[in-house]
Amino acid sequence: MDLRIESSTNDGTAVLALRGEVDVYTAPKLKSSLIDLVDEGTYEIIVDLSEVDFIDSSGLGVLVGGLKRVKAREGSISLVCSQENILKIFRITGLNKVFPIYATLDEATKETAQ
Amino acid sequence: MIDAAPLVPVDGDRQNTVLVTIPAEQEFVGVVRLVVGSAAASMGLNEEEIADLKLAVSEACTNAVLHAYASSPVHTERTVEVQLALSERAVEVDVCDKGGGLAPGTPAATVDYEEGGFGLTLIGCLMDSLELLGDCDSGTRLKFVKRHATA
Repeated sequence: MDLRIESSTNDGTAVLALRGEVDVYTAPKLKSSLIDLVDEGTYEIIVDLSEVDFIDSSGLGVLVGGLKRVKAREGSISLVCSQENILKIFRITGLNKVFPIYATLDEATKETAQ
Repeated sequence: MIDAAPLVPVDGDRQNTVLVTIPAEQEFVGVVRLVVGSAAASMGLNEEEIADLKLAVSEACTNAVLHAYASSPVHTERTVEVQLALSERAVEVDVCDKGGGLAPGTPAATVDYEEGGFGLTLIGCLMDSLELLGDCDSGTRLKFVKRHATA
């Protein structure tokens, strides 16, 4: 029931690698990481959900909030995710059409750099 | 507090109940997920069914924790009670609070709880039925059912 976030930067694109669960208790941690990046002037962000065991609407809300912030500065947020139980949540909410979702970080990095 | 007890079989379908009461605090929502995951696994639900249940219960508890007691007097006992009725055919979930409550029959689609407003939408999509009731000691009672794929 914890969320760990590792932040790194690659060619101007920030990568937030999440590990654990994103729920009402831990989502504020993700929100502040996204806000910190935007405040630092980073608007191209990849959120890597590969090691996320659980995400609920609190987490989705934070991702949408982050997307609004970077889009206002012509940036983008891409996601890395291949877990079917999490992809299903993005499909149900229609957010799979809002966020580009890649199966691997390599794929996301290549596409974001283009 | 966690209680578990077998119930009288209904139509030959053995039923067990698990009752969890948590403080209406954000850090305890994960505790309910752990209990739900373990209880559902013990009843033989598959991985997808367990993930759906954990998400639905998490959303219901999150709604209660964030909104149920927002306008309640300070001395109000702030708890969320989750009851699981597990049988070979289905899992019935009741999530109750004792807060101000929503009007019974409020359509799920009109309730915008979350920053993204996805909470009840997700429960409705993942479960086989969803009811929002108001008879839980004046609080809100959310009741939903997940039928086993194999039942």
